[in-house]
Amino acid sequence: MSIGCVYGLVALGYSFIWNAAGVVNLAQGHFVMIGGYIYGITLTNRLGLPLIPATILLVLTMGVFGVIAERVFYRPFTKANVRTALVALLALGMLLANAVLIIWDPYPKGTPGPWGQAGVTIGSVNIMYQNIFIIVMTVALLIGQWYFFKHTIYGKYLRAVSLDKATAALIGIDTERSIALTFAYSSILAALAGMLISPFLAISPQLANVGFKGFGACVVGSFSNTLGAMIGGLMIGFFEQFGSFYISSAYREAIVYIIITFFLLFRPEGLFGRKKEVGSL
Amino acid sequence: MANTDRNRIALGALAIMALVPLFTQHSYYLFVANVICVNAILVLALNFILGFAGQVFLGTVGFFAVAAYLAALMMVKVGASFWLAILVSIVGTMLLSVVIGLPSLRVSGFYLALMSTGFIAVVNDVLRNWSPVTGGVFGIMGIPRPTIFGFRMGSNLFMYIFSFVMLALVAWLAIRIEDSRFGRAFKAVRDDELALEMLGVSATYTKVLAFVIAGFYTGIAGSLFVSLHGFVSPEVFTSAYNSLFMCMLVVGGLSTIPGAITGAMVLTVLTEVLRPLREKYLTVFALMILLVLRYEPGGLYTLLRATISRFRGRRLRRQTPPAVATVGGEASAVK
Repeated sequence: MSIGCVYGLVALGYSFIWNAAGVVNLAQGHFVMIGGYIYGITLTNRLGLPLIPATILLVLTMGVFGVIAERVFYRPFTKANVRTALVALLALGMLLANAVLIIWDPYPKGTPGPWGQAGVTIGSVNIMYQNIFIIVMTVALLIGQWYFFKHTIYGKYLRAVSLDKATAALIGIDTERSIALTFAYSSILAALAGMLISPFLAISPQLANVGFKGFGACVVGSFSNTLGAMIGGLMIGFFEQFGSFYISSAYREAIVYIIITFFLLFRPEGLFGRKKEVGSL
Repeated sequence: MANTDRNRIALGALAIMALVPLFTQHSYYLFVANVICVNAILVLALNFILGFAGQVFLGTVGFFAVAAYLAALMMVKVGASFWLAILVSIVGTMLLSVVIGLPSLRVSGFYLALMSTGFIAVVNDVLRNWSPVTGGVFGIMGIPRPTIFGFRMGSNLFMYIFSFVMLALVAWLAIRIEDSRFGRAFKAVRDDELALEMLGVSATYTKVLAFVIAGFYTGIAGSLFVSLHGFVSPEVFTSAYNSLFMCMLVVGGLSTIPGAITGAMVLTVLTEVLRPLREKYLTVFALMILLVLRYEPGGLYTLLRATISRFRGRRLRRQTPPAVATVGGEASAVK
């Protein structure tokens, strides 16, 4: 359940950039990984900051990081064809995956998380506080994002930019800044996902694989529908856990891959999307 | 016209490769030269999909792994000769290309790129866990070198001559394909799918064909790879390895055959030079991709052509015929 929430958060990041800039950030998984590293290793393990200041610092760093990533690795390539932008984003992912090996060291690390192993027992089930924390955070972010897109002027700007960049620019929206903001926000989302999941997984470049699951969540749910992406994340998490329990834990990646392929074949717009969005890709 | 440039550069690159044994008989250098041949064949495969057909499918390493394991299994477990093994490997990889290609090609762009990363992860999972067949994490050992008429290519020198002949053959084939109507169809899929369909050519068929041709190349590369190393294990076939090939193609020159070969040459040597950095060398490569895309999207190939033109004392004509425009033969003017 909570793993699914984290996938959902990653999916929100994808769907956010998709809605605003009309691209899928191929390096999103690596953003999650960077978030895990900054929060888990630097802020918590090394500096020993408590949860709230660590989160604030993380959000600030990743916001700046997102803006820089957009300016340096995405904007210069948008003028060329789509393939160039894609290859550039892949190269960015590759750069990040290896940069963490240089900045931090190559051995996987663990981090205790704000509550360690502590939890609450309800009946016979022991639920870790970390799980509850993940669910609360996710719901809060979900509501925040929904409110932002539907009811604030900036959210409307971003939606306008994603619908038609030229027209949006014509009515006075600074499209470039909007897209930069999008990258900042989605990298914050990715970082929060990384922060939430890092107590469960080891902090290593493998963390970037979460990106693929998040993408799967968008495929199963929908790229354009925020709630759909979230539900997709829950479903992917559910399939993965049950698949590895009942079929084989060694093939959990394969299970997720097959599910995603299945959806791409038979319902490429996802469970909650409208028909035409794939055609416009 | 412009294609004579392409042929000259391809020929020049191959000539340099051919001269390697004259300068050094050192086993290690010849081994590296061997690796260049394998890599170049694989980059040619990637070029058919990413370069010509313009599909951002980066699962080449997944196919490569399957090809390598097929060849290894044929030689070690079945006891087949190299020639039977390479045949099985080629056919198997081509079939897999169709099976994977058909569903993947319903989607394009970002979807395809992410699906291909997933594909590599799955292949890796299977190789690691299907121990009775693949040998698990330990892989397969004791793979023999190929033999021709009873002569075994035991030393790296003979192996190199063999791989080089293979590379030269497939490079020639690639050039023939590029100039055929299939080559034109691939580029049309990349540049304007709708226009291609209007001319009565099926876009899906063309894309699958690109996958199958890539599968053919990958099969050859995989067989050579296992024969060269003598063993195969799953840890090689990761997404990072795939990025390496993408980097070779982009740095050499996307959509160009000589670019694929020169890219493989330069970057394989660079990999060896950067070996002290261990896994961190990919940082350098990632930066190279970004710099090339930013400042010289045509890669080495464009630079080489410019040099040739200057050598002849004439300016590089930016307005070459549309088939080979600025970005290494890519009609970027379409955008």
